[in-house]
Amino acid sequence: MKRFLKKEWENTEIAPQVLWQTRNLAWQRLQRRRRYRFWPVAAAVASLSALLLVWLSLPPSPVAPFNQSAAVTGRPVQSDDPPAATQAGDPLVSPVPLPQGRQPQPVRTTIEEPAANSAESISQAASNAAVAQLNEAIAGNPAALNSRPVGQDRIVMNFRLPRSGVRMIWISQKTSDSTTGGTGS
Amino acid sequence: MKGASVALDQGGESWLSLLQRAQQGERRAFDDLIGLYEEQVLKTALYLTRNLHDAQDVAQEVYIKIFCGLNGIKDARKVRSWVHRITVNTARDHLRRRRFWSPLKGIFRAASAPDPVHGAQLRNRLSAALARLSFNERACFILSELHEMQTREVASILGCRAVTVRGYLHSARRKLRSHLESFRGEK
Repeated sequence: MKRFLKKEWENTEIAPQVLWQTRNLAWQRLQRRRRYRFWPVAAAVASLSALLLVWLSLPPSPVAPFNQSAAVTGRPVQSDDPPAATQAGDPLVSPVPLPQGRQPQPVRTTIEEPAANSAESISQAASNAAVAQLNEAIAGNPAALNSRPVGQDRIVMNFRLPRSGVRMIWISQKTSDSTTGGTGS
Repeated sequence: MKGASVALDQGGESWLSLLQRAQQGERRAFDDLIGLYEEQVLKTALYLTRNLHDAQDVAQEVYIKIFCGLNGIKDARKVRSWVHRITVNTARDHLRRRRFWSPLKGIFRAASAPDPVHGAQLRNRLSAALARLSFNERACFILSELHEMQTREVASILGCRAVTVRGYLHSARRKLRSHLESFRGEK
């Protein structure tokens, strides 16, 4: 029986046309599958590039200038970072040199407190003088206190010096083209 | 498959280079690669499905699976078993699916013009005898008796134990013997 069936198996011939047709159909299916695999990748790349183009075509987001927030709120901006002018050695905002080995003191809220040593007393005197000058300027032009849209003609800088920890407030008026004053604590 | 397996064992690099060329889109390399297996795959599929249309569908799927998965085969000696496993599993899946779609397919085929290639259906005694067996019995008989595989190898292809394969073989032989005896009696 086994021999008989084996002979039948070996005698079974499949036409070369059938073999070729099957191979051809398989190849076509493979090519189609490749093409389908290409489309999702192409769609993903196209959507990403479109997103990038949209993002690039958008105008840059408006960044509020440093003096604008102070002018709008009327309150000085608290900033822990030293301004670039301080690092560049601007004479207007250069910190008072401290003696060697001295650590920076914490910032004091009142300026009436007496200073402990000579360096602090110099700084204190300077800041008191600046405050007095500022008060005079305000007294000379009382509208300056109430007028809110002063952002265009007044720049208020409020910052803390990195080494000494002294807080500085600088008000620069554009109209008079002179630095009105400064204070520190 | 015997000739193909010998060719694969001896020239392991040749089919890898064929595969690489075919993956680059070379049709001739694909034909050469599939030519190593196609006759045995199609014949096995033909006796498992007992229909040339279905056998062609199964063979197409097997070719695609060979093309996509041959890269992962490290050992050339395992290619033969692997190809047979794919063929048997694909045929089983195809027959399962056909059970669902066969009423519709029958309508479409009746409506379409007869194909001269498919006109010559398989009508030999082996096919008639195998029609009496279940799918697993048929697969065991084809792999073991016609492809001359070891029981253990057949078991690994079908994903069952060797004892089970022996059981299927025993029942297949019994059914075939009775069928062939009745055929002789008719003659």
